[in-house]
Amino acid sequence: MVFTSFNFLIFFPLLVVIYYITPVRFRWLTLLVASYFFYLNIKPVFALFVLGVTISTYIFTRLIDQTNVESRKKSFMLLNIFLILLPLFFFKYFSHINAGIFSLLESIHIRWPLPALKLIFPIGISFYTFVAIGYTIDVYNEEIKSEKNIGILALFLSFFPLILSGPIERAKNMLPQFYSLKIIDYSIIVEGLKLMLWGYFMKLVVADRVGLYVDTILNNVSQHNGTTLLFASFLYPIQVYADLGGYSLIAIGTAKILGINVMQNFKRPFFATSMSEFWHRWHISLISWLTDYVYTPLSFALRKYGIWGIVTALMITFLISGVWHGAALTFIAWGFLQGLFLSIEALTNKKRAKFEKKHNLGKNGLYIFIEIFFTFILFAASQIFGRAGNITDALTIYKKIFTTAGSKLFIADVGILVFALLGIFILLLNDFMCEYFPHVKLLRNKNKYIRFFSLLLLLMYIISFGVFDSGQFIYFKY
Amino acid sequence: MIKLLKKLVLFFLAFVICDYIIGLGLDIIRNNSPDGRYFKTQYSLEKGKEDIVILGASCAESNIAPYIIEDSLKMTCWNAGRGGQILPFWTCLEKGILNRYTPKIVILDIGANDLSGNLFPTGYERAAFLRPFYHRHKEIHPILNKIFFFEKYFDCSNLYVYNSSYYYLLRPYLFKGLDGKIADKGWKPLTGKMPPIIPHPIPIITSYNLNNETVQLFNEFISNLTTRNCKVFIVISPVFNKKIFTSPTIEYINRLNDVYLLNFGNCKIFTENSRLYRDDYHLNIEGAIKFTTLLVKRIKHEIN
Repeated sequence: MVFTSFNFLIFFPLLVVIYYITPVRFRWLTLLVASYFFYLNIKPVFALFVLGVTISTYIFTRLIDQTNVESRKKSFMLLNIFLILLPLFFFKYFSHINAGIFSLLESIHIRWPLPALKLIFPIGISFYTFVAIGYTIDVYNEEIKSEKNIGILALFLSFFPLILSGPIERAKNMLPQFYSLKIIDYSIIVEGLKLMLWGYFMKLVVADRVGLYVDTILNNVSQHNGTTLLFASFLYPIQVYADLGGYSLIAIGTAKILGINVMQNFKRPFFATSMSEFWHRWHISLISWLTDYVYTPLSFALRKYGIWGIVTALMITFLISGVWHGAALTFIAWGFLQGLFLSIEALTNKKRAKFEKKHNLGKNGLYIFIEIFFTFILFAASQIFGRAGNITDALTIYKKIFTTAGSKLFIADVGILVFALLGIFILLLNDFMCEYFPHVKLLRNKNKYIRFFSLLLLLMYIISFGVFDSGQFIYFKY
Repeated sequence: MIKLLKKLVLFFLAFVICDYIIGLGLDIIRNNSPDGRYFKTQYSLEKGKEDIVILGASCAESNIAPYIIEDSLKMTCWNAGRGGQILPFWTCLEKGILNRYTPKIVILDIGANDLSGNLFPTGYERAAFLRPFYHRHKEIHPILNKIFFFEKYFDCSNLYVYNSSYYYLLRPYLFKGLDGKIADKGWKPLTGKMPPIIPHPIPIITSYNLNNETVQLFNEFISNLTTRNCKVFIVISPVFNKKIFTSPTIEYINRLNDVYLLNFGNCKIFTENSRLYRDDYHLNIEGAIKFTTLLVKRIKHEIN
């Protein structure tokens, strides 16, 4: 079951009714049962993995808490991380490692084909594994106490709004909330519904519509010219934003209706004026996770190297982020590029600040626009690696962009492209208003009639222009 | 909770009213469409009474010119072909037509492997193009309701049935004739030529198994016509540089008693002449005229 399935539209209202008639002290249990039901609905066997991660994490975090010997604590932490990473590595990297070993042996004329397994990737495994690792490290660092109730921990790791694609939440935010599930509140439910509605707009109207065009182009790189590939490469980051951003909003809204606050995952990323700012606005939960558990410990360990220590930490962090997205070389190239952009920014930070101050560019509209545009170009350029099926395709895209740009744009179905661009315009206009004119609000206007009709219009727009027969969310594969 | 329920009911009522009013407006736009794909479909479903009806996908739509058939057979003819559509859509149109009258001849242009293809989900999803006609045509419900489980409930909404249709709904008001002129009777002639290529036709040998569900719907489609004494001609259009002698679909149709199979898949006049094509699969105007002339000769031969 996914958020855009019609089954979810039946499941969720039913759950809300059951949830609110359940006595408060048993609500966590209702959520746990609902979460497993939700996940079992995708593929029952997948639930075994989340259950395994839960049991392992419970046992080892309890052991960490009960031990006073530092070395044993560390061993328990590392052992749990190793154990829960095993299924993730197996499902994500086995076939790549298999192919790598095979081609390596073949290069020295040894034919020894390893058993090829057709593995179905358990959706959400990257997400709940990261959540469990974060929790384990937090317990080890004594930032939180280990959870005594395995049911609550199971709920934390399997909480259905977040299990498939995040946001990657933290125990210190979530666990206390499961103990104090709130009494029904009209304004919270309405706010949750608004978030869900905007999330559906982003997903169904923008992401899936843009995807119809982008997939046609980027799945057949060799058949399209530079202009078309450039255009599709510009659209793809917007598609990902609308897809994962939309998913996140539906997840946050769903959780909110159940009385649980979840962290924001996107904050108008295409209005960032630098790559470092961009990464404070894009997939915030993943980046803050990587910052806390990878970048900060690394930069601390490398502090004696000064700025080069920071650069090294940045490169390693984003290479890990790339590997998290997938085992392919394209993702490593993607991570490398992100690290490279951020490193260049870190190295030139002082000079840029001085330059901006000298020419008083901080509030210059044109300068800000150029910064925003340049940041977008950098991200879109790196996303070519994120989207391409392999390195050859990615390099073909770059090559064609620089050699055959200016040729005729392939449009395919005009209707699809027109609606896609219209959706993008509305999405970016909303982000623009929130960024620069936060007092102008439609869905949250003080006037109840404006609020009411804005919501009505949004619903009608989704029904009129949404794509209801598309595939899944992009981030389900990570 | 009461406040929330009240607001939700109010919101739902407002939605229903808006949905109804906008739906009325959209119906008016569709009904008065000067030409285009909705005009054509509505004409096929509700108005046309031609002796000969052409059904099929883009090859039917652009390769077969009704006026040549009319001149030759002295019967009226309408091309109801629609690009990208397959059996579920044709079945809907057939049901709409047979609800009103029985044509004397139906020409169905199909691909050489059409009976091997799956109808789920793409075939039924493509037939969703007919959603704007859902409320007026009960006969198409059994097909459209197969798109997905909740289809019949969602089709209660006018906005939903017109989902994504606005561009093609409004375009004929701004640009006439982009989907074919009314005078061409449903034919959508294609201009342009392929670059000259020296042909080396490749014989296409397919071994796809027939799809039971597709065959079942196809049989239903055929028997709906033959039981009403309508003559059915099944046409396999030519493809440039490819020779299609046979396939499980062709063999299956060959075994049927009440239909005439006209396979142009191995017709040298077309398969080796790039000048007659707009692209590998579609003939240009010159090709379409030549093809229809040849087709009508074969039909004449069969019915005499």
